[in-house]
Amino acid sequence: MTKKNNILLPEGFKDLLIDEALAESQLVASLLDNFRKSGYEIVKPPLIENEDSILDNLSNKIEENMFKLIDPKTQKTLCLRSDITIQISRIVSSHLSKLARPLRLSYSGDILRLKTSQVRPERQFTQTGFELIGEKSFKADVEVIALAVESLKKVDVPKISIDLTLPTFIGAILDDLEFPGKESAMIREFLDKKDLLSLKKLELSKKTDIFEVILNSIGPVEKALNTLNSLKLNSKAKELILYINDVYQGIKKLLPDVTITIDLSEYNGFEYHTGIGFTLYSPLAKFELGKGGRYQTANDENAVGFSIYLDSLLKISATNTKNNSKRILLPEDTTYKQAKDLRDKGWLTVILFQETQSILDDAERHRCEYVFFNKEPKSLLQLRKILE
Amino acid sequence: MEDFEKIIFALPKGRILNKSVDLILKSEILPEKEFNNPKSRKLRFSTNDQDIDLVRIRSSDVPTFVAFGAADIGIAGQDDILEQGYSELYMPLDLKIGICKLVIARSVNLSLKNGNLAASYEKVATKYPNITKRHFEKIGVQANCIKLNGAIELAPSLGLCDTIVDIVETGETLKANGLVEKEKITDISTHLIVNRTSLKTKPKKINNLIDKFSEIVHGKAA
Repeated sequence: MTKKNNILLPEGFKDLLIDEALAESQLVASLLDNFRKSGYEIVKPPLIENEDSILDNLSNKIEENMFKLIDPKTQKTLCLRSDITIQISRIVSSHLSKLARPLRLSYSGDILRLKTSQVRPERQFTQTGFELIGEKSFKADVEVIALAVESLKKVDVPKISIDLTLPTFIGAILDDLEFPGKESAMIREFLDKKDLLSLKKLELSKKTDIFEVILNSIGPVEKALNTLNSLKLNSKAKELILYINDVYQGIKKLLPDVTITIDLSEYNGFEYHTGIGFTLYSPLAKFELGKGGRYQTANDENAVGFSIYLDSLLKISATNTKNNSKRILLPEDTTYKQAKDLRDKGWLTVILFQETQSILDDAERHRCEYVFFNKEPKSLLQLRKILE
Repeated sequence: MEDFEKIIFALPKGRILNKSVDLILKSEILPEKEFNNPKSRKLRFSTNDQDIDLVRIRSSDVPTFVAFGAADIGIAGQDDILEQGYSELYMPLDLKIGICKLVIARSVNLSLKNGNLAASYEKVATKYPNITKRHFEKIGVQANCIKLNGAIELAPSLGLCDTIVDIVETGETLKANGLVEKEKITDISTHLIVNRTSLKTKPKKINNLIDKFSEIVHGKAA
């Protein structure tokens, strides 16, 4: 017997049951299929990595967010992966380093995170995505963003919008204005909250007018680019603006009906990105659906990729899936051959082991909308009429 | 229009409700009649703008509703925003209403006796245990917070604690209960808060609202 406290799961973990689990597997299959059609080949990295191999490739922040354990065999510290992108970076820098570039890879798997946020308490996520390795030009960004949007459209996400950011932009300006490190960190924090007032209140060594302009530029792209183009920027920041403009024009051509916004103060979750960063939203989902951007691999190759975390997508799609519509209840005297024929025709068969008292009641109890009656599939409605 | 495309605007009940409603009216968002009926049990109200619905909720819950995206935009006191500390919130505008400060206060007698003594441990009654804990940590004091939901000023005189952390507008309540302000933690104002996702999915409508409120607060020139 299972005791009550034995069925309680640790904080941040949950079972996906029947409908949700089905919806998730269907979503993942559809996404991967769509990535594959655009030439992305699938890889499957393991759940666990050596602490050393993950530490080498990335910033500390993600490292802190990993479950760790000791390998009883070697006494080495192992990490449970918190992000598959890092594993792809390791793979393309080692085993697949000799394959022709650009290299297109896709993946799907579960990841674990130690810390959670108040609004997103989950600690296990399914991460499904793809990476384009070894292409420097903005065309790679455009391909990745367009494929991300198309893939979400395929699974019926309504009114997708894209938010573009440049995680290195603020840094370039802070460097240019020569703010001391401590002040830079404070400015970053207030920019993240879009808290202009507190930013203005800070007694800083330099003027902060430029950040006010950046915060006020957040929104639809055309207006934002006009504002940003009017800024006096150093060449590094100016190049970034030209680059985001190229990407925007590219996407606009391919996806004329998608809303695109710019927010150059956005940094959250883009800590290891080196070029453009982008986030996909739908007003139906309360949180972002997926995130991607440009980064350097462990071998310093140019890479750009995109990941969907299935939890947000699942919340808006679970209601859309029609899953049990082809479930058919078979009486216990149905032969194996009859059942197999039905399955070959696309039916989902549920067979009874005992003779039934009321086939209609049983069909409802087993959530079947059809019954195999007199060697024919009948809907419950049809059957009711026959039995009357 | 689909329901998910509407803007849900959260207004705080209590201390800042009247001033918030003033701002809403000035921005030419006119709620349905029921809104002014004190006997109404309704919590959600339509407005003359079919894109916007108003909800009235407990002031300390406004940041929560907005952080989770249940409401897209809201008016909330900085005290409640700081206490909850959600990272999903943007604070694009100070509305300059409901201005007060968050202070540490102690009973007059105690302050006279050992006012300069820096304790390593304090028992503090407050509505804001998170802010209190953070602040006391910063000054190297371990704070044992007792969470109260009202009548904080009464706690020291009845021996519940020596110290309180609460918001103060005029200081009259402190005085009347034999307390003195020891230290200001921060100034408090009222902010327009916006959900991170809403700003990105409904950028035109939300930016429009922010601009409108900014005009009311700063005048047309801004």
